Amino acid sequence: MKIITATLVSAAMSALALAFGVATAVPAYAADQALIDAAKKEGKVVWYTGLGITEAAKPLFDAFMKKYPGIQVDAARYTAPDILLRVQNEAQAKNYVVDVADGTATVPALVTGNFLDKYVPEPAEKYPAHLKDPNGLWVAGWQFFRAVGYNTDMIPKDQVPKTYEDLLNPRWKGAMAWADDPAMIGPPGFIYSVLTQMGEEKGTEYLKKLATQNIAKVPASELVVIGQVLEGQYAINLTTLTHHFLLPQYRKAPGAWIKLEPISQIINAIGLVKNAPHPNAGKLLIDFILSNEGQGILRDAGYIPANPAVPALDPSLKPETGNFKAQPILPPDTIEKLPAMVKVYRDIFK
Amino acid sequence: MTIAMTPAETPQGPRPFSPGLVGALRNRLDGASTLSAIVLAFLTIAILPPIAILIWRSVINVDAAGVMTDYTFAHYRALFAEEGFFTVAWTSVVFAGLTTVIALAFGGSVAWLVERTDARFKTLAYLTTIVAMAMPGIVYVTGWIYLLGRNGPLNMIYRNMTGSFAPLFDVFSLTGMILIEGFLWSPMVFLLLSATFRAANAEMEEAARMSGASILTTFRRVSMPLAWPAVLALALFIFVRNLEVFEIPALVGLPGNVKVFTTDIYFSLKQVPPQLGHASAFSVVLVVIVAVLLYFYARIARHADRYASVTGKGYRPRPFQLGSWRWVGSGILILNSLIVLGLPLASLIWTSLLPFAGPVTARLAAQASLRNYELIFNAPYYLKFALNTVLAAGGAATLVMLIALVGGWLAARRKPGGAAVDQLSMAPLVFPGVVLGVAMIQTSLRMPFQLYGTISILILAFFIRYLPYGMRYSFSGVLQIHRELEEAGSVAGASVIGTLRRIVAPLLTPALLSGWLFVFLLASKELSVAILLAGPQSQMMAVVIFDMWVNGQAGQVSALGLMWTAVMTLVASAFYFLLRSRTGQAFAG
Repeated sequence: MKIITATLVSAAMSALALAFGVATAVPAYAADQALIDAAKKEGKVVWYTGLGITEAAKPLFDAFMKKYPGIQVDAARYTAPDILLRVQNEAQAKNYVVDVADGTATVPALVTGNFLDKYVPEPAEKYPAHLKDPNGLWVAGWQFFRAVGYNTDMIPKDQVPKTYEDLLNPRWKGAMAWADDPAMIGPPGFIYSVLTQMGEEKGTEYLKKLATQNIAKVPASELVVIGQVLEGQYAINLTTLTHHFLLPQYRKAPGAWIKLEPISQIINAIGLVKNAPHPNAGKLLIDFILSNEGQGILRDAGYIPANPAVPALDPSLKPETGNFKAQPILPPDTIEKLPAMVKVYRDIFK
Repeated sequence: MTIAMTPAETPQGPRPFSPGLVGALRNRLDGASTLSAIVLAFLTIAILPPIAILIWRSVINVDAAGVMTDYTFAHYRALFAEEGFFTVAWTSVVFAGLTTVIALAFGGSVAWLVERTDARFKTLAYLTTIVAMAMPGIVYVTGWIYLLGRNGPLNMIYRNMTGSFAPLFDVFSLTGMILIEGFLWSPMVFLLLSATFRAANAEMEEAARMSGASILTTFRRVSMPLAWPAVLALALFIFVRNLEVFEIPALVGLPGNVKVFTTDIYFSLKQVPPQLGHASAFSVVLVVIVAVLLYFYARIARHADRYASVTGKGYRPRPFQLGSWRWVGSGILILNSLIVLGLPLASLIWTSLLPFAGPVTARLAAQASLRNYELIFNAPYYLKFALNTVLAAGGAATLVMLIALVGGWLAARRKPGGAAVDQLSMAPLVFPGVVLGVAMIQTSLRMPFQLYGTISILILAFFIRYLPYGMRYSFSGVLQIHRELEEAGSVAGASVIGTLRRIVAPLLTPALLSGWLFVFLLASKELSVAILLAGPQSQMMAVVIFDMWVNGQAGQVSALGLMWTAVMTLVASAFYFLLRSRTGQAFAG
């Protein structure tokens, strides 16, 4: 009797363990062997990225090079206009160097300039429609959620602004800052949210009033601004990217973000550049970045992966699991709306 | 004993007529002219394409792919129609002017005290200068922004005393910009002026003092009038450079909404797509303004050569005995070191030990650790950037001084073509750095050898950018060598190349080496060109540090910045002491 019970129990445990294992095991992405061989023959891939090298790009390409020995990754970080300049000039001189490029403002510009090649990576087949290009030119790699962040030491819970009107309180005059970044993750994104929420006329009126609050324009990335807010230089950051609180240096800092809806959901897309000198290696790199493994590396670095199967370190940061209204801003939206939003920004917030 | 003189080797004497075409050429070209032609050709190929591209870009429209669509003057029209253009112009002039005054006041007083008096702590002055020059601009500015910023000691002391939230001093203002840029420049002013003061023609001062003049009178009536043209020329040089500087207006001026010329260029290049037409048009206007100013600079600098001369006879300028004023002199040197270097260094050390740049409190001090340094030590790939930077800076400095040796001599001795060489080599001064980067991407992509993405293109870019500085060292160095030494050589039968190689170059070595070190240090921290031009395999340390700053890694910026500064200081100091021990006091450039 005991033996039977024991056998039954262990069988049940094994079954359970197996079921549990299958349920949670992330299916490993296996690239097509032909692609791997072709990529190894090319030996190298050149990647222009907006990711910080030490914290995000390096873990990614170190893992890639470990997985596919023999393929060297040459990555460099540039701003969006600089990537565009390099791609444009390389194309015009017919001296092609770069294979893969990414960026929230970069990819829309590359699409408009007809610099991207069609490629739909296998991991992206499971992505929802709004995270990839219908023409196959780009796929979302990671995403940013632009919200309003603040220093929890400086503002007690009951005084935290909850609506746009609250931001007009004279108390915040000179105490707010944003990154002087002409991109959707910056002030133009905030302006877009306002105009969408309030309509053109009322929105513009509101923005003009907001401009009298003397918001400091920090000539650096959104990350620098949140750093300054967490250090106590300002109380509120209007262009906070919510994943910043997941980054190693700020996990213990006194910061939080407000659900001032709609929260802009800015897609950071990645694509294969036309006439890439190492197209197969480029495809392999894109596949890797979008695979569960690559997305896991990004997640651990504090970013919010685009792959629906990979949650962020803090699940409440994705709209589906975080219960907030997000306003997706895809590359076509950026192409269409960004210039107008930048103009509003420059005109009203001099 | 007869001195054999072959016709082709007499640079200054008449030659017998040679028949035929080759002979006709030989009649026209003597050694100096050929040299001029070669140098001019090289400079033209290096410097003119970027200028041409700049002008071309300012008159075209492009589509989304960057391909030209049509010609237009719209960019220029938009420029002058811009409201606030004259406010921006005025702010730029005030910024450049006051920065020059501060830099001259600090650097000039130190230069005079060190070179012409017996004040103590001279080594401290040199050390301060070397460290300040070895430090990348972004690191230096970060130190000052913290010191004078909202979280910094200055404002915290004020806040604690008065209890108000508003700071006493807003570093993001025109005043902040002027102070930081002025301090940033004063070590360079010290170096450039100390070269002038060191080779002072002491005979006139000696004569004055032997006639009974006091130190002050000698200074006022002999030293100053002689030095004045050199100082004025330098002032104009600094003014011109500050009209085009990028980093300070962007990092310090923008948050405070202070706009200068380069702010506009910066904005237009930061957009997607970058507004190259607008940026180029603005740059062309800036180039024209600066070219006019440089013309006056050249005329004044020509007068400056009356000040210094080293003849074939031995000489040794005697330093002033300050007597009871010695402690004042020494005190000024110490104060200068403290302000220009000590304060920002302290602030950098503080922020490098913390996870983030908070105020100076005991609570935060408790979190101090060496973590930022560990992170960098444990990442061996920083070594690659260090190597790239040293290679690029060293290569550029060598190329600059090679060309400067020949070019400076041709210009200073007024050889045929010398004036053209002089002017062409000064042309890069008019170029705003970022626009140079854009132009060089275009040229490098089309060169026969694949220089794009390699260190070589950076060497070329740095060469273009810093040639004017090297020329200045060489030019004033040659002026200090009296002609009679070269004339003696040519009378003995030396050719132009021979004179250069065996008489001028050895005497010019101190100036050349000083110039090499100067260019090396400047090139090692160059940012605005490198940021666009450096490829994945040729990344520079200054760009890496800037990337960290953009990523909000303030502690690591300070840590890596300090480590890099230490390395460069060691390299520079070793070089400097080698230079001093080999050449002694005389002739040092």
